[in-house]
Amino acid sequence: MKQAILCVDDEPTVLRSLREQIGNRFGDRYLYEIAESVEEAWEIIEELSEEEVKIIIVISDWLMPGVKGDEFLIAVHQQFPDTVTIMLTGQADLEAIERTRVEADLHAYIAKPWTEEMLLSTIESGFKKLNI
Amino acid sequence: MTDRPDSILVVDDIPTNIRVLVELLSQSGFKVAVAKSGKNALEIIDRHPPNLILLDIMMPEMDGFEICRRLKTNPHTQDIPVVFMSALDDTVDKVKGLEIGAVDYITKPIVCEEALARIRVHLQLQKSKLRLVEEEKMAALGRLVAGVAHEINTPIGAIQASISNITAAIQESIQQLPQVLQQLTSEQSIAFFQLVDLVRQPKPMGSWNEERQFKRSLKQSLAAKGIAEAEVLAALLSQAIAPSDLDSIEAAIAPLLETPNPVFTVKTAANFAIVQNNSENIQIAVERASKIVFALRSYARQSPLAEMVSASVTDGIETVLAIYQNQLKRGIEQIKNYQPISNIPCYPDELMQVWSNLISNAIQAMNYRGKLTIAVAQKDDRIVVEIGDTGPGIPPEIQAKIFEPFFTTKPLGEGSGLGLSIVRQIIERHRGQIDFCSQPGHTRFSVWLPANDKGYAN
Repeated sequence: MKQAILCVDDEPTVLRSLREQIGNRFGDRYLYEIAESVEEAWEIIEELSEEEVKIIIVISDWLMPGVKGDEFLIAVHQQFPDTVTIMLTGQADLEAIERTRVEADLHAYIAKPWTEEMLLSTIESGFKKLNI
Repeated sequence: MTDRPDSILVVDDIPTNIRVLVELLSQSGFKVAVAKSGKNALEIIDRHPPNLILLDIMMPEMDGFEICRRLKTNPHTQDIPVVFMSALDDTVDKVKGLEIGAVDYITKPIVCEEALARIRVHLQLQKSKLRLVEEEKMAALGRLVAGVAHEINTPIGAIQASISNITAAIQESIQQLPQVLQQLTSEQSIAFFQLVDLVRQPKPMGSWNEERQFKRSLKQSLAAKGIAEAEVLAALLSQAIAPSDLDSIEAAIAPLLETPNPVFTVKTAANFAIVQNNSENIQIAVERASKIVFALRSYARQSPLAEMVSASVTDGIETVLAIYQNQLKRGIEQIKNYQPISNIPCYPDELMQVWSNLISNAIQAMNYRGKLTIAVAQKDDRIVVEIGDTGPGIPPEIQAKIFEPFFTTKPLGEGSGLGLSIVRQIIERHRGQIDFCSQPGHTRFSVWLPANDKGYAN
């Protein structure tokens, strides 16, 4: 079964650089999908499910127009309890992080600006959690 | 506050009065200047604004009331406290003086101790007032800082990631290019460099949905032709090339599919797209960061007594919105209706403080969720800026008080209650007006400003 990593951020420059950064490290083993809003993220999740692709990691910003990252990750966790959730954000309220930790089993919180090492080692530790 | 002595201007036409006052004030440590007529007083004040003015009422040509009226309508001088002096122990005159903006009066013959006490009180009050205004400005700035951190951290994150992507792509190219080129026939070489040219074309950003469709059709089309690596090739090409005609892309890469390792060949060409895309990323992110820094700099710079300059009101509003972007994103829909208007004579930094206060109040009133409406239009000689929110409205019983200094609805310590009072002061300095209408679900502040400098002629 094909596996995918999904990034959600309302800033296109962040999305594009993230996808390349992650893709560059993990190569053709996974699919990399990006979404500019939670709404778009759900569309992708649906499409991938239809194509029988398993989403193993979701990396989401917190502060976005419309639905916030904590709400989104909690909903993802309810539907896909195995999926590793990571928050990557420049500002998040502590309550939101705590809620995501409890209700979405948040794997990690990474503050922007992130470093490549931090991001990639967090994803790798996510793989370990999934026994990949 | 400075340690320099406070300066006091004595305006009086009678030499004995002047002598008494100058002696009293100098001995008490003040720096004293004297004007013997209204005209003379206005000239001195214009050149060296004093900390306080002692103003005689009864003078030939221009009387004290007229001088005071002029001082209070001039933005440069309206904040200097004026204390009237008059031999007339007349309630009507006292009231009239206070009504046109004096802070106090002393009656002649002057009782030294009382006069000194009153002067000291008003100098102290003036200093406290200036300090509070300054504190309010700092508090407003403090509220912005958290948001600004986010606004700056995001582009910095994108820049760092883009740099590491470019470095990695170049590294890979250096290793792979000789290998790839060795394997290519001359026809394949031509196709390879055509593909390199193609991926180096700028690619529109943000149309991810379109990119996904493009990837899917590319994958299906390549798979239909029996190409084993359809999925990986489609992913590589859709990220490197703007969505375009499938046939021409397939024709372009066809010779490369005949190479020993098509994915390796295409990926080597696609590395040039990574350099291109990430350079563009850096450029966009730097522009965003610069915009925030610019906004902050304009916000912090204050030049209260400078000349008015011609500036765009709309630009000022946009700068403030840029600073508040992060608060607005939480759930506020922005509706902007900007009509084209000409630049107006103004103190742009001060107006920015007005927009910042009104927008921040609107955001807080809506508790970060609702519609923020901003309209800018010109009506005859005035421009009008309207800032509307869909918050719960201002309760009728406090509507009359909101512009009063120290009136606040915020918990102790979160606001000095000076925000709107400073807003009104700034607008009055611009010879403008502010009013509002408010009901539950709909509050709108309207600011009227002169569109040209006719209103400023003295």
